[in-house]
Amino acid sequence: MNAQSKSVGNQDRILAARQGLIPVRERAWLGGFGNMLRKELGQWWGTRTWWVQTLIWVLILNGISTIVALTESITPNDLLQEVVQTFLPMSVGIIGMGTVITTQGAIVGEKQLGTAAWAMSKPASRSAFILAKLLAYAIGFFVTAILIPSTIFYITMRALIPASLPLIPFLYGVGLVILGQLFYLTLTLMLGTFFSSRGPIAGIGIGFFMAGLLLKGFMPMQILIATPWPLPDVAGGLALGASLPSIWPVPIIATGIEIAVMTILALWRFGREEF
Amino acid sequence: MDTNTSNGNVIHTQELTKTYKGVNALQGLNLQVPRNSIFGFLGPNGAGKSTTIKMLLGLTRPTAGKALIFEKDITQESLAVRRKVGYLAQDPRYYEHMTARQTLRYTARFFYQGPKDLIEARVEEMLELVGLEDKADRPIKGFSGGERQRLGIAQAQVNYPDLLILDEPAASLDPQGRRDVLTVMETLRKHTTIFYSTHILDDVQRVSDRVAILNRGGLVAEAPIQELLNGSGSSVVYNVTIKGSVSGAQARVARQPWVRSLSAKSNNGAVNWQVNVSDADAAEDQMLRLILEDRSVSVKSFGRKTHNLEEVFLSMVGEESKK
Repeated sequence: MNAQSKSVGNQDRILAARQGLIPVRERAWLGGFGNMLRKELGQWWGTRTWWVQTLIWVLILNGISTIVALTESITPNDLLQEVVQTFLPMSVGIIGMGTVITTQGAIVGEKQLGTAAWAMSKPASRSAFILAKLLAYAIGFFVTAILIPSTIFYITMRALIPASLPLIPFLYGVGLVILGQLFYLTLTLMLGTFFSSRGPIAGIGIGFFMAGLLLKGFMPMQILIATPWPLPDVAGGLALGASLPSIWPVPIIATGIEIAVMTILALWRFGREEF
Repeated sequence: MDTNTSNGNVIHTQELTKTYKGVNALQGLNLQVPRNSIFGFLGPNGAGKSTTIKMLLGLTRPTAGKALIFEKDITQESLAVRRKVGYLAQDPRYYEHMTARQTLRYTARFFYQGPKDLIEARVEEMLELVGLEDKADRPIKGFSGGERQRLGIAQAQVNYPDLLILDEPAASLDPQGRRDVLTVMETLRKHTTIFYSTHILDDVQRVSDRVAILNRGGLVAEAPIQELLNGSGSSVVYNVTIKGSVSGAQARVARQPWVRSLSAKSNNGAVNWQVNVSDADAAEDQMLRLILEDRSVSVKSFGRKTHNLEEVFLSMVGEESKK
């Protein structure tokens, strides 16, 4: 602390400097949102995270679907159906699990380290803290795990398979991948506000995903359609223009409602957090 | 600088209480922190100091009671309160991947949206203040405890706070670092109010002008530091050294209604009295006269005993703990 007298300065200088700075003007419930979002996005795009994530998802999703396209010797239309039914359902599932693994420490890590308490000692609202994380992770996963692999998939399959894959239905399928990813993201963030260690978060998140794989075939339809578990099948069917059961919108609406409810629960619980 | 405070108090708490699972961490705290004071908040571990600070900052909710900072309610208007406050935690934690400069920039952007050059200038100024210019662009994960504390002091001041709340600001610093922190606090007194908790009683005695002592979640004392050091109420003690035949004088003084106790000890032909009085004015006015009624007695010294803060603290906390 070698320059105290110089840096503390006199009152006039301090007041002049203060007058030049423009205070942040945000609604109370969104206080600090812009700053925290910039920081969260910086962690995705200002570090190697974005290209590591992109590389992993391209290798997994595009790698497997390309292998299927190159090794199956069936008619082009059947092959197209095969690769779409591989790519989209696999995307919904694997990205969901990847989201749980990557995001499990997003809230709880900050609670454990004390950085959440530090941020909340500044003029930042708790809802802004959660929403900044939600938005930054949603954008990060959307670009690295969905947009780039889906674009590569569409271009690659058009080049490899001499059959038509209409863009709009394919985008409907991609939309359901986004919906599934958002479900697991909000689930993980919400669990992070309720628990104080990563174990239960990863356990419940991955357990829910695995339960979908194991129980889907045995579960009564009334319960199944209230979960995101049918989304992989619906995504494939929509992309290929296949005929779907009349109740196909129900899991989409239910998942949307569940995302909203889990976001509200996360905001409510974090608002009551005692640091 | 905020002047919008009632009775000149920046912090005003009223029966502020915090209970964790049935255990009282803080019970009915009534505290007034005057504007532009350096207010020392003392107490043993677990006394409720950090709990109080966390409640003032909205990090935890009061179970009962209320508190105002700059006349704003800490629960209803917490965000507005935090705009005017700088805070240094007891064990400051930051994002380890960020550099000191990025941390200060991030902190500043909670308060200011621009212009960018003025924000950068303020960040630079704070780096200079704490002597971290040469480490400004290194990730915090490589920082020592002292460097983290310095960064903490810088981030707490980045918004020109009207109130600085420091939780054990010098705890992890070496003597030189401690001295620097105290110097900064004294310099900032002109611009801001400083409310800080500490265990280091020497520091409190050096810089504070008002002190509160907390024990087991309750307020034991709150007074200007000089008042505490001089003693007050039942703890005012006079030291008297006399020579000659003292028994008559001792009996006369001990009979006075304002004398609570008198202890005498012989020392090299003189006698040292410690007279604990309940009324300092009466003692000042009458004690010497009573002693000197006897012409065979001579008074070598007479004065009010000045305590050091450690004595005051230990006696108050000790008495409270016996209850």
